[in-house]
Amino acid sequence: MKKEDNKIQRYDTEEVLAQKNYRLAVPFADIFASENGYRIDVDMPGVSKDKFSVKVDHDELLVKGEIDKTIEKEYYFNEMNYSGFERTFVLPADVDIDKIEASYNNGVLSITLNKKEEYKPKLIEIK
Amino acid sequence: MLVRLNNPFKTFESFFNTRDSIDRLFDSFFNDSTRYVNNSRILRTSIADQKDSYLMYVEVPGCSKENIKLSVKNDVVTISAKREPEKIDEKTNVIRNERLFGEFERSFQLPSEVKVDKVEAEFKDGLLKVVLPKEDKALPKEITIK
Repeated sequence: MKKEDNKIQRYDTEEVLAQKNYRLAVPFADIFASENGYRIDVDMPGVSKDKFSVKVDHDELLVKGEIDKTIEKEYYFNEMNYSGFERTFVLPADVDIDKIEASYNNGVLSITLNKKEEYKPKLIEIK
Repeated sequence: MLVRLNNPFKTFESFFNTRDSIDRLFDSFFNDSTRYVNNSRILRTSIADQKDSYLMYVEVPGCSKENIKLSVKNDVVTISAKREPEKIDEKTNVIRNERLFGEFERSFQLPSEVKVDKVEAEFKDGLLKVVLPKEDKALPKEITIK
């Protein structure tokens, strides 16, 4: 492979760049279920804490975040051609919408969903 | 560049992707290696040319600062990261598993050599930002016309 390959250098037009600035990628997520609730871990690197929005609308959980990054015109190599992340999760009926917690650490958004009391398993004593 | 990932479907994607301009489609016929690739789930990278330096962004979500290693030799930058999977107890079921865990490494060859001593890296919110100043001989020189 040639060491210096000028063909790799691209110059995007303003129009393409503007479109690219609004592109939102779907982040990768892990979902875990336990007796008392669920946990969703979402990879959202580069999003600072104040640029997040976690919204619940009926049974939908919308996660959105903008990346804190200056957009350059001349890329040699670009795999991050998006300005943020967005993903919607449809919540099961047993989730208590009022008890949703979210935390962010090292680029991973972790959402804890608690089950409604009536859905939690109960141990019945034998008399 | 050292890394070139080719996706045979990329050319056809442009037909259906309204975001892509026609120009791009024509470009891709002549030089398909310039297509943007986005296949990796971790260590996704962008490298930009900033006249006297290269600006590099690498996604390392879920890694702590101690688990990221960055090394530069001449014009090759190597990033390695380790992401530990979270411990799950027996009662927890995994419903969806899209994120990758383990050890990852990627190398990139830059178009010119860089000043190894002056490379600066900053890690914030799972994104690694690296500024690599170009070696003096790689910078353009102005020549006075006699």
